Amino acid sequence: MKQINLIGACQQLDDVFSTVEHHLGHLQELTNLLDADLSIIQTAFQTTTSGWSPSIHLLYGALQQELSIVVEHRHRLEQLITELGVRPNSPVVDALLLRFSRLFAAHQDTQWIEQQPNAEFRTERLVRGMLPSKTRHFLSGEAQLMIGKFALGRTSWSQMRERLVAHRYWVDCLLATLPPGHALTHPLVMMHRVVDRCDVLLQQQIQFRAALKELERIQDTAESGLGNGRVFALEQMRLKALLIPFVLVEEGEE
Amino acid sequence: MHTPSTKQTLPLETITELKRRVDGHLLAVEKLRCVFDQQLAPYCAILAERIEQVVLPVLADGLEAATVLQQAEVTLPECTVQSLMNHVMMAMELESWKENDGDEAN
Repeated sequence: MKQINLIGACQQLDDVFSTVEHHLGHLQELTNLLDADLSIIQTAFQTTTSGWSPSIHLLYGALQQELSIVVEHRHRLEQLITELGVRPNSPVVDALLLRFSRLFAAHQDTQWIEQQPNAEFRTERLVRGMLPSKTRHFLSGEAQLMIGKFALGRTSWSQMRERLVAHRYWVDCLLATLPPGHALTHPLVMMHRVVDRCDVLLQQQIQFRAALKELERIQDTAESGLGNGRVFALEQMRLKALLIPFVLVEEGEE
Repeated sequence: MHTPSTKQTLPLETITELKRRVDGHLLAVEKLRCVFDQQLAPYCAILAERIEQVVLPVLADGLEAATVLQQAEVTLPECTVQSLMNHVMMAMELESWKENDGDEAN
């Protein structure tokens, strides 16, 4: 009877790890999309955005670490299920049960918290290899919709800025769901800062373009009041020099 | 990132004042060209030439910059606003032509 219960618990945990692995895959996909967008910005602005690369690598590293922990848990869980069937009283089973006891307790805690009416006021256990329930909800719902929307192309800095705003949104949403000590928190905070820096650059480009259009409009409407047009031409030239053309980097072209 | 509206930073009377200064200097040049006194005429010609070559272009640039700042309906970049304001300030720093000075020169 005890053995059947243990196998049932192991299968529950395996389902959880499978879901977490799946969700981390979605997060990896979002990170890849962010990386691709930042690559375009870095190619265009060259030196000005230096410093984003370590941050994205930090995020990739944290993600890989989380994934490897989940994969190891699943591997050990498989080993535990096999051992329970073959040698239920061996010392290996005890060691593995000890390993998974905390994880199973965390899983049960989370399940209990999810059923409570005021779940937002309760704190889930912070366990490596598991994601908080709110993070899982975001990654299983809104994040997937966002991945779909990111499939749309970008042809200008305005569209790129919209994408950056969306990237900032998912980073913020994830940060809001993760407890402070989580392994993904610090890399995500770093990415938030990188996205903010890039956003400032894109806002400037959009402003330069709008200003140039506005100068053209003024030139068309107030030709007589502009004197010899020297200052006007100078400002137009300055703005044109500040404009950076949008160049899309195709895959494999870098 | 946010730049204050140029219309708020530039007083409304700036363009009027700059136009008045340009007109005053043009009038002064005209008056200086009409001086036929043998002793004064060469000096008046030099002064008129200086006004035409040095003062009026600065005033014209300032007026042009002020017009652009006044007519811009979108928020211009900080660097553009700063550059245009510099032209306006340079023009405003030039003293306006005083009618008495012109009379004395005449």
